[in-house]
Amino acid sequence: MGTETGIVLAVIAGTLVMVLLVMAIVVFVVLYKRRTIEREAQYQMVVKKKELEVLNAAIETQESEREKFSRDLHDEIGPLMSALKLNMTRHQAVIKKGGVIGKEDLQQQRDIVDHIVQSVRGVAHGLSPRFVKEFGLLPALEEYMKELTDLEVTFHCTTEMDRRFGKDIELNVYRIVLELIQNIRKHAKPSELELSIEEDRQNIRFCLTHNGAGLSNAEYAEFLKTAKGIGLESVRARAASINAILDYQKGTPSTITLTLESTNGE
Amino acid sequence: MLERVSLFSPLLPLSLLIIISKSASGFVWRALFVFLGVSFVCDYTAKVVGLEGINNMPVFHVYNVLVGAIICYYYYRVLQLQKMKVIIRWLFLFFLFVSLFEFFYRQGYLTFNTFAAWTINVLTIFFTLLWFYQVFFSEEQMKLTKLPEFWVNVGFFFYFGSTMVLTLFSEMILYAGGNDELTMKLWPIQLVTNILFNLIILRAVWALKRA
Repeated sequence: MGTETGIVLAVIAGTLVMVLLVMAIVVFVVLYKRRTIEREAQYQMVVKKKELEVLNAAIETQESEREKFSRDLHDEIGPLMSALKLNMTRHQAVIKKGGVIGKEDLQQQRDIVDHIVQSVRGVAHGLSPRFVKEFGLLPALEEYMKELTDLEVTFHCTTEMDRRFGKDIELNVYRIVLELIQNIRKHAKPSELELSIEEDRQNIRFCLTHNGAGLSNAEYAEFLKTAKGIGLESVRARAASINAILDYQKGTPSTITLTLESTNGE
Repeated sequence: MLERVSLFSPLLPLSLLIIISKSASGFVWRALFVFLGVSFVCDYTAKVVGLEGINNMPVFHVYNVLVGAIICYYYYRVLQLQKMKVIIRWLFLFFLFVSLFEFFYRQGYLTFNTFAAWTINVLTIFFTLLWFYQVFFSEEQMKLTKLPEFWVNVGFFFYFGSTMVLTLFSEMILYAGGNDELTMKLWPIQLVTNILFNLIILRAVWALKRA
């Protein structure tokens, strides 16, 4: 084989090598695109899974709230209505016999009606907190704290009372705080309760401080796994839906802090 | 004709770089500007010196060191892989040592710097493969064809890959008993490679403009 033939072969080989290099780049681009598509599909799956989780959490929250209202109606208003009915039947019998209903009896009946009105108001308030929608979250919380007459309550707020958040944020925070207060009253049995609201550049914190039996983060996590109907799951789901963080600190006093970004939902 | 087109081909991306200098004066812009500037000046000088009948090999020696330094610095900045920066530093020192050794002792500055050219070819291909690896396994999703770095990498991979093979063939021809005149017959492929390389770099500059 002559040198000239060798050169021709070298030229062909050189061209082939160049073609191969170009092919290598094309193969890389194709593989990269395929990988990008796979990643996109994985990402979409994660997003869908997350959406499903949020949806499930919303359904769970709705179910637990329905249970709660059903329990409120059954446990609070039901017995009062029964008592009222019993009283009226008794009075009817007295009147039939030509007797007279005393002032005390009527007062007792009135007290029962007052209780019913109060309970209905409470349930209605829980179903649709109009006060929050009309006047905002902070005045609504302050108003709610004033209603807790069986405790020594303190309300402390460093931010403007007319500060408004997004509709979802206000409703969710309101329900979370109410649920937490109810839990504290029911399980921690405190004599003092303080709600303080503090805002800085990054965050706004809703801190509940009480002198009852507190809960730590670990205990809260354990309760979440085992507790039934306490409403902790709905609190967790609501907090997650507004990207808020819950922190439980056990001590004297104990605290529960709900922290969310200041710009959240504005 | 082909030789002239190849000689002046860096002016195309260089001109576009100057046009977009106000809007895209980042690191990639600077690296490409210096690289293309050095390429053009060295090629032109070698051509003029060659036409005067003077041995122009020292120009290629200098060109090789400058291009090696630019490429090492470029990948030093671009590659984010662990410990890569330290490795690139050592590889550059090795390349410098090879270049100087070849310039002064092994073949001398009047002969083509085969070994130093080979070293920078291999190093550049190694760096380009690392860059492809880095991009392929990166968490970030990118539209490759819109990345100026992608086109620069493609250009380097294509040009230095081809040059390496062509240098190998030249050496094989010489080894088989051929002479320099015969190896010069491979030169048109090198010229075409150079033109294509500058067109790919032009695409990189265009991507830089759009980025």
